[in-house]
Parts: sequence; C-alpha cells; structure tokens
Amino acid sequence: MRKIFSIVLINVRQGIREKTFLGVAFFFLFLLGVSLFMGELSIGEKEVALRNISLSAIEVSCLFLVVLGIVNNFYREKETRLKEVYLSYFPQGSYLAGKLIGYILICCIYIFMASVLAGIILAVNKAFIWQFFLGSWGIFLKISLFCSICLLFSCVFDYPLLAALSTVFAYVAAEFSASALKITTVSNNAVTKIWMKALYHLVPNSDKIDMKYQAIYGHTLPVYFLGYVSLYVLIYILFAFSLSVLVFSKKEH
Amino acid sequence: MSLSVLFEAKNISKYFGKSCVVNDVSLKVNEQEVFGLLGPNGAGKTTLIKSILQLLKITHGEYLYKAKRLAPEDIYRDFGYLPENFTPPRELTGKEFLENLGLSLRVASQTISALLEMVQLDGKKKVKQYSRGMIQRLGLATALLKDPAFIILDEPMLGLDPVGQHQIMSLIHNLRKQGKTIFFSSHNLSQIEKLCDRIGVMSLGKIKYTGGIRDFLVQQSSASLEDAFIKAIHGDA
Repeated sequence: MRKIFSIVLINVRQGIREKTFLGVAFFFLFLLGVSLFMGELSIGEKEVALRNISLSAIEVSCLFLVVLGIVNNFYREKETRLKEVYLSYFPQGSYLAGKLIGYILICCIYIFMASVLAGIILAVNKAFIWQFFLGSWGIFLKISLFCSICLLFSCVFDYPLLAALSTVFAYVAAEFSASALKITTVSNNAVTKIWMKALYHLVPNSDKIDMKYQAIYGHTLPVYFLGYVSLYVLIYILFAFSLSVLVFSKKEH
Repeated sequence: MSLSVLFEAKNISKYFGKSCVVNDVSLKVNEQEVFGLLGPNGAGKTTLIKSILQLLKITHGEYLYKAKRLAPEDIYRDFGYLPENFTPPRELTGKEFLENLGLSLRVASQTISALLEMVQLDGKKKVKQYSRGMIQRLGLATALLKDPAFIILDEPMLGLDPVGQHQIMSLIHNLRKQGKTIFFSSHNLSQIEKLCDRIGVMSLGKIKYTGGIRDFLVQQSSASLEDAFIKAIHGDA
C-alpha cells in the first residue's frame, strides 16, 4: 500500500502544479464567463441555463484534464525514463494503481474546486440549489471512469495522440450508448441487434451515470440509486485497470 | 577485495523480432567491485541493463543474484538504478521527489538529507530549475535511496560538461570506497580506466572480453585502453 501511496503522492503533486492543470482551470473560468452570458440571454430560464452550463463546463474542462494530463504524464515518464526507475522500485501493478488513483485524486481536487467556485457564482446569481453538487458527484464518477479508460489506452498504444483520441472517442461513444440500446428496439436485423447490445454493454453507459438533469432541475435521487451508480463505476474502473495491468505486463519497457 | 560473485549473467540473448541485440552474453560481477561495461553506441549495453532489471524479457539465458535466480523482489530491494538521460518530475523539488519515493521504503528524513548532502544538491529547488549535472546527481541519489547492494548506472556521465563528469566520477569513487558493487556502462574509455576494477567489452551484442584492464591491454598487445578497445571491436563497427 505504501508503494502505491508513494506514486500517488508524486503524481498528485506533479499533476496539480503542471501547466496543464492551470490551463484547464483558465479554460473552465472562460466557460463559466460564457455561462453567465448565456444565462442573461436565456430569459425566464436563467437559473437553469446557469446550472446547466456550469456543470457542462466542469465536465468538459475535466475531460481535457484527463486526456491531456494522463496521456502527457504517462508518455513523458516513458521518454524521461522515469518509468524505468519506478519499475525498479515497485511492481507494475503498484505503479499503475498509483498513477490511476493519483489522477482520480487530481480530478477530485479539480472538480471540488470548480464546483465550489461555480456554486458561489450560482449563489450570487440566486441560481444555487444543493442538487448542483449531486451533478458534480456524477461528473466525478464519470471522469474517474474515463481516467481508467485513458490509462488503458495509454498502456495499449505507443503513441500519445492515439491514446488521447481513443479516450475522446470512448467518451463520445459512452455519451451515445443509450442510442445503441434504442437501435436494438427498432431494428429488425438480428445481427445489428446483437452487435448494438454488445456495444451498449461494453462501452460505459454515461446515461446511467449522468446526474446533470436532476441537478439542473433540482430533483433528488434515491440513495440506493447513487449507490448502484457508484458501484457500477467502481466495477468498470477495476475492469479497465485489470486490463491495463495485463497489457502493461505483456509489454517491454 | 572479496571475490565472491554477487551477480551473474548466463548466456543471455535478446531478440527483437529476428534481430539479435544481445547475443549469448555471460559475465560475472564480484562483490564490492566496479564493473564497467564498455562498448560503442548500439552495442546492446542499454538492452542488457534493461533486461537485468526485467524491463525487457530475455529470449535465452538467466540472471543469478547471490547464486539464486534473480527475482523481481531482489530488484525492488537491492538494485539501485540510474538510467541514461533520466529526468524526475519537473514540478517537484529534489527533496520532495526523494521523500515521496522513499515513503515506500520508510526512508528516514535524515537519510534523504544526508543523500542530498552527499550529492551536493539543494533539495529545495524544483527539478525544472536544475542543470543537467544536478539532475544526474539527483538521479544518483535516487539510485542510492534504498541503500542498494548492487548499483546499475547506464551512461551516468552522458551529456555532462567536464565539471559535471568530474562530480559524478567523484561520487562513484566514494561509493567504491564504501564497498558498494557498481555496474556501469559507458563508451568513455578514460572514465572506465579511472573507475573500474574489471571491464566487459561489448560489441554488436556480443561480449568480446571480460576481466581486468591490464589483462585486456596484454591480450590486445596495446599500450592504451583506446587502442585495445579499437582492436577488440575491429571489424564490428
């Protein structure tokens, strides 16, 4: 456990001091400014628009943090041969676990700070409701899941661009996973149905994790639902992490 | 000097596809000696070192450590490693990096301060503010953090100016005095001549010679290590 904690600490310290983290934070501030502007334009729906755009800004900017941060960090450690030093200290599983937990923690810190800032802005504009933080929790779950997917792609591909693009594609696919399920109900083709169903179960189901709708309109969710969603994400992360360890162990460093 | 064998490579071969990068390499490193692996660029030195650390899977052969088959736990516990062109996380200070890495081994804060003092490094500066020589000294401190029994240094003086090279050489010299076993690769003959008890000459993946420097000069009928080295690898380059 100490070995994992050691890598977590190095990654968190490095990650939150990097220019990527600051750059993404500035991008979020820009989006927050846009949300204020859009709120003013949405007559009669100002509060809803503010909450909606604020949560979307947190999610999009944090996705950038995952894609740029993890990929950049992972491949830089390979280039600078830091990875080799770590692997002379720790088993491969500990190294990858440390990286994954470290990046989930960085995203947690980022989402917390962004949510507090957005919450203050919403409160000033009389648009704050406590369910807003429910939306932030949903974003945290979704982003944690994509941290594990990004780590998996980083282990699979030798080129950072491929890993980054694949993560973005997986994110887009996950957002539209519900459409794959819809196709199975309307399509008459048996092969298409099987293929779409398999695809639906394979890609993360963002429609299940997403709590933005409830957060925007002030709906509450039952505790058991939150538990199920969190468990689903945890299982998916463990699955992606196990695959990452498997791929990483097959590769030469 | 003790002559008991600490580490042994037995008939190591490594292929990348059909290309043989390390070809039936056998060598022994005795306890408390400095062993220099000498070879031109592309000789397979780094591949051999990476395979010792199990970063690469060998195609044939085996490594022995303390007369037993080398296990990953031996590496985590006893092997210190400094790779070529190593750079630690740039946003951390030197001390933070060593402290965080040392956390896994319960290294005391005083040990880290002593290490930083030994490599003459200001641990409060961020790595991005370090010169290449300072980074290399931090790398050496990283390799020594677990108080290793076997230290592997891959081209430790590559890219350093003469002052930086001198500092690293002094540090290796001090480690030698402390009785550490050091295995280092280089293509710089004067460094090898000054530091090593025994050498291994490698070319095109094969070991051409292992033994003392004097014996090597006699074998090659040469007055200098440079002449002997060129004769040994003649026809390979």
